[in-house]
Amino acid sequence: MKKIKHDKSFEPRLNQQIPIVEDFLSNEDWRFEAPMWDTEKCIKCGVCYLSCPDGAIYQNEEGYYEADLKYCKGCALCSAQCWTGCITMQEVFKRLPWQTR
Amino acid sequence: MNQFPVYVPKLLPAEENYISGRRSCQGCGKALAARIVAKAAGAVLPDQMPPQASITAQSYACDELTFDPMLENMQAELVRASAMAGASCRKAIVGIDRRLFLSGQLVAARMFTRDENTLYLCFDNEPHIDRLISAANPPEFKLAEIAHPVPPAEIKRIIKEKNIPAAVAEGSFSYIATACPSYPFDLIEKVKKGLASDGNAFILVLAPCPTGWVFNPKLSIKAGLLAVRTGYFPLFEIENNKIKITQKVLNRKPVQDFLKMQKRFFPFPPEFIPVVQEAVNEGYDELLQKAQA
Repeated sequence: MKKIKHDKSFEPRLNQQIPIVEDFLSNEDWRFEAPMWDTEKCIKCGVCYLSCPDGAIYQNEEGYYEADLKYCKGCALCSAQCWTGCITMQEVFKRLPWQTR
Repeated sequence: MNQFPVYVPKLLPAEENYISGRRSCQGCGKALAARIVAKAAGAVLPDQMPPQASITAQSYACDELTFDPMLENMQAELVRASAMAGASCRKAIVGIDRRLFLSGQLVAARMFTRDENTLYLCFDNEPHIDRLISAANPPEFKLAEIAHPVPPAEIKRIIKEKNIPAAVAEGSFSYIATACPSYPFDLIEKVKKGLASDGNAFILVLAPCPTGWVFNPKLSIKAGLLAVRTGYFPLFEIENNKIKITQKVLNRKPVQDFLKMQKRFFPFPPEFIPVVQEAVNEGYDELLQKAQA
């Protein structure tokens, strides 16, 4: 994973600094649901891999797809795009009564 | 199952030039578009390249910050970057936000009239419609009794203006196109064509925003699909002064499907929808005529 370096030679020219993230730990706090793959139905097409806006889905050794829980935010785009319906979202953190979405 | 050539692992490169760990919202369309463009761009940028010359996509929350001072110096930075990188840098890619065309018209016009070899990507989450929404909605509770309805001619002008901003038409571009991340292979082909063309290129990318447009984040790809299938956002490209429609839509769906999905359009009166339908029909028919001529 490449680290973005903040180039100091541009600081005097910019009035504001560009917000570059350098100390990212994990996205666990954002998640209410995490995706789970059913390997009996998965046809390894790769549409879930293309539709993740965080790039959290990767292909493991057997060829089936998996989500890297360090980067997944639980947006459920992969389960909405799956052709066979093998991805289900499982609740990881309980939603409190005032949190609708 | 890997024998079939239709599947994604066969068609796209496996390397990821996209850096995860972003502060974008869940289901952000802009981040998804930036990821697909990074797949198409191919080779990794050299380490000496400054961050302005790479793809930077700021999310909805960061749009309040204005980076106009950065863009005034951007041309000088790009010249410096291409001199540093030398022959290993074919073309620089610059990502900008549509909000720039609202406030900084002079900056945009100045930027586009120079002769540099760059590809400009404009991520569009429709900030120009915010004004329409705030002007047309009934005002706050008990503050005023007068609502200001927006005349239909004004609505039509705003919706027709969305496709290619006026500043682009004055500049000198060899390739102009529109694209959407719900059609990823189409977007990848257009980025590759833009990189291969001589001179400047401009691509307008629709970015469905669940925060700004107010819908469930898992529907952001479907919002892009509906925008194209209703004719609200046609996909076309202009090369050598010829217009070509890349995604043909034979039976257009009613615009109501697209508007009812987003909560930002709920407070409008029911007379709003036919006006938008007329504007979309007129715009699409004009485009068809220009394509055939």
